[in-house]
This record gives sequence, C-alpha cells and structure tokens, in this order.
Amino acid sequence: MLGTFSIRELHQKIIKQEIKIKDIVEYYLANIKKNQVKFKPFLNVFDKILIKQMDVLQPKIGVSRNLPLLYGIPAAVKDNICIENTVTTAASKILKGFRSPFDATAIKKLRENGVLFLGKTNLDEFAMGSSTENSAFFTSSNPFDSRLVAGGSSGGSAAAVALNMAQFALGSDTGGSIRQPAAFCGVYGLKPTYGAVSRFGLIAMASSLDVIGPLARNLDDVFLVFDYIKGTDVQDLSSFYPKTPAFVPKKDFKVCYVKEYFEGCDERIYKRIFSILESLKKENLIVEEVSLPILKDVLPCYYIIMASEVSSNLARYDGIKYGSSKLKSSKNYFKNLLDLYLDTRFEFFGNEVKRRIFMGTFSLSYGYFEAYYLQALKMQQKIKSEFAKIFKTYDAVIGPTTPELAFKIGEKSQDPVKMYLSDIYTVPANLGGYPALSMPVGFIDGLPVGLQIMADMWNEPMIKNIAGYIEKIIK
Amino acid sequence: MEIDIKKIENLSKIRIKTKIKNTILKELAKILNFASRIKNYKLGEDLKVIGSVNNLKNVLREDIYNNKDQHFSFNREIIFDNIPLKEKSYVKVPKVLKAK
Repeated sequence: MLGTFSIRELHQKIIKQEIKIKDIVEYYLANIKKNQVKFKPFLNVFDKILIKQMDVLQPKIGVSRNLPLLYGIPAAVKDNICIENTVTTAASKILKGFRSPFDATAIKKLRENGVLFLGKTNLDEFAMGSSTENSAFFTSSNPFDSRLVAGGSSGGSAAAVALNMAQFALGSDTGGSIRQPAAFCGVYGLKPTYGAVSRFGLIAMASSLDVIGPLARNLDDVFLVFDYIKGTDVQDLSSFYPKTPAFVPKKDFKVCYVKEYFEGCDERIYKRIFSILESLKKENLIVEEVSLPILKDVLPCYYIIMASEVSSNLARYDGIKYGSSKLKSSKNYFKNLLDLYLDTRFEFFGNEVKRRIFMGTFSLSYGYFEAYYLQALKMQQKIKSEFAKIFKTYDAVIGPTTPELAFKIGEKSQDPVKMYLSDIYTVPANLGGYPALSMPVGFIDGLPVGLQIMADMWNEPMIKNIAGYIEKIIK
Repeated sequence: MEIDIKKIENLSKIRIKTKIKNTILKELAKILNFASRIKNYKLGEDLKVIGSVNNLKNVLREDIYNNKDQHFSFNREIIFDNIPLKEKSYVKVPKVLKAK
C-alpha cells in the first residue's frame, strides 16, 4: 500500500505524523526480504546502518520547519556510486570488499536532504552490459517474469523500484543503462543532460558519456529527485547546470520521430509507440517524421569511444592501491611488477570488461588511432550537430526506448555484438549529451513497453511536460 | 586485419594466456568488424573533433593558494584499509629497480 504513494504524498504523511519513517523503512525492508531471493536486485542491504539513521531523522519531525521533501524517503543505489564507509564493488571481483572513503556528490546531496539508503543494487560489471548478466556475482531477474533479464546495466535499480523495494533508485547511464532497464521493468528512468549531475563518486566507465540519474515508479518522483541531485559541482569540472532555466516553459510543443528508429524494431512496440504519436496528433499537436541516416552507424561510433575511454579509465586497477590483488596470494609477485599487473587484471576482471579494454586499447594504439578513435569522435560531432538542427525546429524526439521487449536470461550472453545492438535507440542521447526519459506506456504479452523522450540540452522540464501530457492521453 | 595480440596484452596489462589466445582473437575480430563500419563513413573535411558535449571550455586560474580550495578531505583510515598489502604506514609494492 505504501508503495503506491509518490514522494510528495509520503512527505505530507510524514510531516502530519500520520506515518513514521520507521514504518516506511520497514515496509521496504519487508519487500526486499520477500523479493530478493527470486529476483535478486540487491547486492547489499544496509539494515544495521538504517536503524541508526532513522533514530537521527525521526526526532526532527514536528519540531523542525521546512523539512525537505526527500526527508525520510528510502532509496536504493546502484553499486557503482560511492557511499562513505560502505562496500562499493561495481559488481566486479576486482573491487570485492572495497570500502568507499567518501560520498559521491549525488549521495551527499540526498543525504543532506534526509534520504535513507536501503542498500546497493546489482549491475553489469563496471556498468558494461545490457542485462546484469555481466555482474561478477549474480544476474537480477525481470519483475514480470523471472526467466527474463531486468535489463542493464542499472538492472538492479530498475527491478528494485518496480518490485516496491525502494521509493526511488539511482542509476548511471553511459549508453542507455538507466533507460533500457527502466523500459524492461516498467518504471520511469531519466538520463539527465551530460554534466547535469556530478560524476564525483561515480566509478568511471566512459567519462565523456557517463551520467547519474533517477529511476522511480512515477513521473513526479523522477524529476523531484533529479532536482535534488543536479547542479554544477567543483569536484567534477565537467559538471554544469544553469542556475536559471535555459528554456522558457510553454504548453504547446512540436515533436518529431526519427524514421530510422523504427527500422529493426519489434512490430508490436512500433505499433504501440505509433498509436501514441497518432493520439498526440489528434490533440492538434505537431508530430512530424525526420530522417537521420547516420543513426545506422551510431553503435560502432559509440562502442569505439566508450571502449577507448574504458581502456584508459580501468588502468587504475593495478592490484596495489586498492581492490583485489595477486600480491595477497603469492610471494612470487614481489619479483616482478609487470606480472603482478598482468595476472591481477586477468584474474579479477570479467570477460566483457576485458573485451572492452582490449578493443579500446586497440582503437587508441599507434596506426589505428586515426581510423577508429578520431573517426568516431568526428562522427560524434556530426551526430550532435544533426540533433542540434532537429532541436531548432522540434521540442523533443519521441520513439521507442528499446527495439525489443525484455529477453531471456542467457539468450544473448554468448554474442557480445548482438547484446550491443539493444542499445541502438538510447546511445544517441549519450553521444550528443542530451537528456532523455524512458516512461512505461503499457504492456505487450504481459511485458512493459518503454517510450523515450529526448530533448535539447538542459531541457529536462520539457521532457517532464511532454511525458505528463502523454500520461494523460494514454490513461 | 592483423591483430597483434602481444601488443594488446602489453598495452592493456591483462595476461592473455596461449590457451585462450584464439578465442580472444576471434571475439576481437568480430567486434572490430562491427566497429569498422565507421571507417568509410564520409565526413566533411572541415569537421572538428568534439571537445565536450556540454560546451565547457577549460579555464586556468592564477596559481595562487586559496583557502577556499580546501573543501574536501578523504577518510584516511578507510583509504588505508583498502590497500592490499602494507606495512606500518607504507604501501608495499614489488621492486622496480634492479641491482647491477
């Protein structure tokens, strides 16, 4: 029952003292206990820390005025975002047992506003994957059918939210890692504008594409949490969010859909999204088709840039400073530093992580740099300028979030290239830096369908506006 | 395309054992085949490489110490706990210098 309330509704009940923070926490912990065995969204649950935190928060209720809306609200956090003095593994063996010495900026902001952290959720190792099957520990299941994937890489966060195991969750999105699992699990997931949320404390995968964002069961919660975590941060020099809105709010809007987005898409999803576009037209809104042939090559471009950055970012795992190490297991590694690196990284990185490091190493190496990495960067610029043109005419691009419904566990794990293809509609927002939301728009054969709304830089309010409109017409 | 697996191993600092060499080569060839599609994509000559997607530019400040810059500190004890091998307050590492 508690799970049907929005954050604003819960807040009213908390400040009117109709419910205690303890009741909310206990409700979510009970759901975690109930669903964890079957669906496995969590890697780690903080039951002991929670009790201490509740005891600090509860006494202020009824005493302090103007308590923040998030006060006493329990959240789940993807395990590649650091929470001080708790284990953060990024679902990798190489970080097994690693305790974070600080809070990520997003966590710090939530903590200052009274958010309670229930635990850390599962992901593909270092957020590399689309199904959580690359997690070094276990695979999380889809809330609608436990034989199917929850999506990824923020699959644990999406499943936890869908299964009422948290009021909201944080995820990270490099190529669709918030939106694709949100679509598969039937929840809302926002990938903010690049830099809108500080990456400080987010374990780096591809720094020029990574962004932290919220997942929740309703539209208002997603944007409310976003408002609390966004903002320029001195700890992340690539972060920026304008203090005054970059756009003037308006009620009528013009949207478009990209022709190429519907090629290779499951016909049932295609029809569902199209019927929504038709309904928008009936409301006398402008809905037009645009063509972007370059989108056919967006995935190779993304994979080269991402893998190149991965190969550089993951160089930090050396078996010396922190994390798992061969130094602990054998005296032999004291003879040769190079062997220590080679064997530590061989043993503790998973297969997909190694593949991406190898590919990135190759695309950055002498003789291939220009043909691969530089060419990919140029294509990224081209894709960005194509979308910039679109956003001069249209307020948003609407389409499906994924080309297919949630797939079976094991169906694609043997074929990395096939797995990469499931990111096709989500990757352009990362390459361009644009904000994009996946919202649930009904079911096909009992599985949720996600619709994606992508808007211009820093125009998250427009996305909320359009999503709210679509919600009304499909109800 | 020839992939020099020894070079990849050396640059990535990940051991590639002889046993799995062929599997890795096959996988890499498949991914590179997928990625190679962009090599022939015709792009305008004047196209510049993107700096940052949110149009931020690098700015340098004066090299003067400012108290306000000291806004963050890490938990030293936890950082130390995370070190795989240590002695007193030192990090232990394999020898990199060789005796003659």
